[in-house]
This record gives sequence, structure tokens and C-alpha cells, in this order.
Amino acid sequence: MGSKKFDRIEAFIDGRLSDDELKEFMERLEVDEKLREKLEAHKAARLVAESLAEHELRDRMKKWEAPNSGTSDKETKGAAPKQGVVRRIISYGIAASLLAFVVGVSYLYVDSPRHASNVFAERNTGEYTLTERGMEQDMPIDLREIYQLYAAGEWEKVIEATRQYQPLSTDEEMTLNFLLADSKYRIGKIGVALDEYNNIFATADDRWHIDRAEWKKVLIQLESDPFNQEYLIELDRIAEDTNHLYQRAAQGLKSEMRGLRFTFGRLFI
Amino acid sequence: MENLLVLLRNGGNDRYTAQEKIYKQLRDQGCVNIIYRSIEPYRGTLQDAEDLFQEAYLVLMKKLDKGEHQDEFNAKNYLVAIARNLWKNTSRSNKVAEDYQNEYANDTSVSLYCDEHLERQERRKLVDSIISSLTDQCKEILRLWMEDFSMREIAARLDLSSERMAIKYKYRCHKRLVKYLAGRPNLVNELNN
Repeated sequence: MGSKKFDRIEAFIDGRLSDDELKEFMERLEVDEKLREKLEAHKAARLVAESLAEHELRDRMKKWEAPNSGTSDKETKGAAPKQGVVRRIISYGIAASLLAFVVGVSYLYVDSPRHASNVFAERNTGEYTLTERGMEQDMPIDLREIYQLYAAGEWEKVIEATRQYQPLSTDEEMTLNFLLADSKYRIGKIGVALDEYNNIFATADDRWHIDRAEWKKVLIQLESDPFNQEYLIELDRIAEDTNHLYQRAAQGLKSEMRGLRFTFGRLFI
Repeated sequence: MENLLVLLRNGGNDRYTAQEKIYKQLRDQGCVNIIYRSIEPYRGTLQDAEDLFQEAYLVLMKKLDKGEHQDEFNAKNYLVAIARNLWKNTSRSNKVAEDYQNEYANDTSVSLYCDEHLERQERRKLVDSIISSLTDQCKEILRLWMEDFSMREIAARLDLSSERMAIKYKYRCHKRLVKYLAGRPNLVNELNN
């Protein structure tokens, strides 16, 4: 095949023929079977040459990948490791959350309601081991026995004895009511104890009994719900009431409550 | 992208630069990740995604060479679509991931091109045997010619004395290849069809 013919076929493939040349070429192509065969061979040669370029491009792609196999590529090589990192972060996150939850709950369990409860319970403890008004001096023997039962922590027996004892005075009746309320509180009948204190608060006409019942009531309420705003307001009121017999006790409790609130708040800050 | 397409059309070293930049841009745009997420539910691995990305890139280059792209051409979307279709075809041949085929059954935007690409893949072995009949210099010169290097650049790259010598060598190699193929009409038929 002469170079002119060769170039003409190449020019046809490249689309470089002028309109006249193209027309002439097409006409020849229709009648010249050898030309058609040669054209097909040229097209096939182009495919082979293109493949050479593709081979080279593949080689270059491998080279482009080489630096990417390190850390420079942001997305691709990072696909699986990135997912691994994400999974690891999620795992650590879940573990940390669980740990924080357990610590938080145990912290609350130890320091918040229970700790607060202890604060109130401590104030409810031992008050009757020795009476506060020196009543034991002129106390009837039966009433003294009830006190002894109370001091021994025989709550059920105290409750039973107070039911059987016939008080000789309002003062004795109130004393028995306090013993009864406190014994019920000791055996876990908080609601009943609260009712007893409410009852004392409503019926007593002695400031000592009224203030004491109120104080006991607030302690029991705060024990069950240390951060209840309503109960805290009652505590504030007692702490600010200069005439209240338990003002100083309430102020002391308030300062302890601040510590409790701080402890509780630390979990959320 | 427009600038890169211009570089690509310039051929030669500009073409190399454009090809590399396009490749890296597509990688940085997270194409492999997108492909991986697309095939992962259908038993595709990250390695499959890597392979698909490269195959799809080759198809994309071919398309750009032929100027078969619209003005508002989005290489990333196009490459991902090609990869999906390649995976569809691969999974069809492997009889895996039928769900994937069903999901992307209507995505025919590039399927014809991908089919063509697969056919080309099948022809690769055939082509390789033809290539092996060429001398190393002929392989190199024909490749550089296909990559639109100027004859002066080819001469420089192949340590030829002049541009004229490059033209001469290129013509000789090209003619040798055509002659080889002309004597094998069945091979030509297989390649062209």
C-alpha cells in the first residue's frame, strides 16, 4: 500500500478529509472491497494503539496510587480504615457513655438521694434516746418503759405500747404521738409517719410540738425527695423564721444541702 | 474541570497532567467511598470499589477523548454511574448481587458505554497478543502518537535525531501493524466488532 493511500485512510478515520475528498473516498469505498478491508485493518490498528495508551495510563494510575497508599488520600484508601476509625470511635463512645452512666448513677446513688436521706435520717435518729425537755424526770413508769423500748430500737413494741398507754395529759399524748410517728418512720412506714406528724402539727397547741412536727415532716419529705422545690421552700422558711425552734437546725441542713446540690450538679456541669 | 478538559485535548504532557489531576480530584471527591457504599450492601468489597473506580476512570477518559460529554458535565456523577453499571454487569456475569441489578435496573445512562467497555476488556487478551508482535520502540512510538504527543516530543522522548525521524519511525511501525492485521481478517473482524 502506497503512503498516499495509507495517509488517505488515516485522514478518513481522523475526519481530516475535505468534503470532496470524503465524497470521493466514500464512492471508492462502495466499489473497492480491498479498500474496505484495508480500512478495517486501519481501524483495528487504531484499537491496538489505543490499547497501548490505555496500558500506559493503567501504569500511571498505579504510580498515582503509590503515594495514596500512605496517608495523603482523603477519601479512597481511607474508606475501610476510616470506617474502622469511626467504628472504634463509636465503640469507645458507647463504652465511655456506659461508664459515665454507671459512675453517674452510682454517684447519685451514693451522694444524692441516699446521701441526702442519710442527712435527714441522722437528724431523725436518737432524738428520743434522751428526751429534750427533761421529761424523764417526772415521767410515769409506763411511759418511761416505752422510752426504754424506743431507745432499744424496739419500734414494733413502741407502736404496740403507745396504743395501749392511756395518756394522762395533752403533753403525754403529744409525746406518745411523736414516739408513734417516729417508730413508724423507723420501720419504713414513711407515709404513715408523715400523716402522724401532720396530725400532731394540726392538733397541737404547743409551739414546741408544732415546730417539732413541722421540722420532722420537712425532714421526712426531703428524705424522700431532696431536691423538691416545695420542700426546699419549707426548709428555707424554717431557716429564716427566727421564732422557729428548729431555725438553727434548718440553717445547718441548708448548708449541707448546698453541698449536696453541688455534688448533684457536678454530674451535669 | 473546563481547564483540565482543555489540557486533555492539548495532548502530550498536558494530557498526562490533566489525566492525573482528574484522577486525583475524583479520588479526593470520595468516588471510591461512594462506589463502595453503593456496592457494599450487595457483597461488594473495598477492593471491588477500587477496581471499579479505575475501570470507570478509563471509560471516562475514553469518553472525554471522544468528546462525548455535555457542557454541564459532572465527572464525579458520571464516573460513579459508570462504576455502578460496571458492577451491575460484573455481578450479572458472576450471578451475584441480583438485588443490586434490580435496584439499578433503570439506570441505563451509561450502560451501553459500559457494555462496550466490557467487550473491550474481553478483547484485551486478543490485543495483547497483537501488541506482543511489535517491537518495544514501535509500541512506544504508537502509544505516544495516540496520546497526541507531537513528533518533536516523540523524537525527544525516544532519543531520535529529529522530528523527521520520528515521523519516519511512526509511519513504519503503523504500517507494520496495519499490514499484520490486514493479513488476519478474522482477527480484524473480532477486534472491530
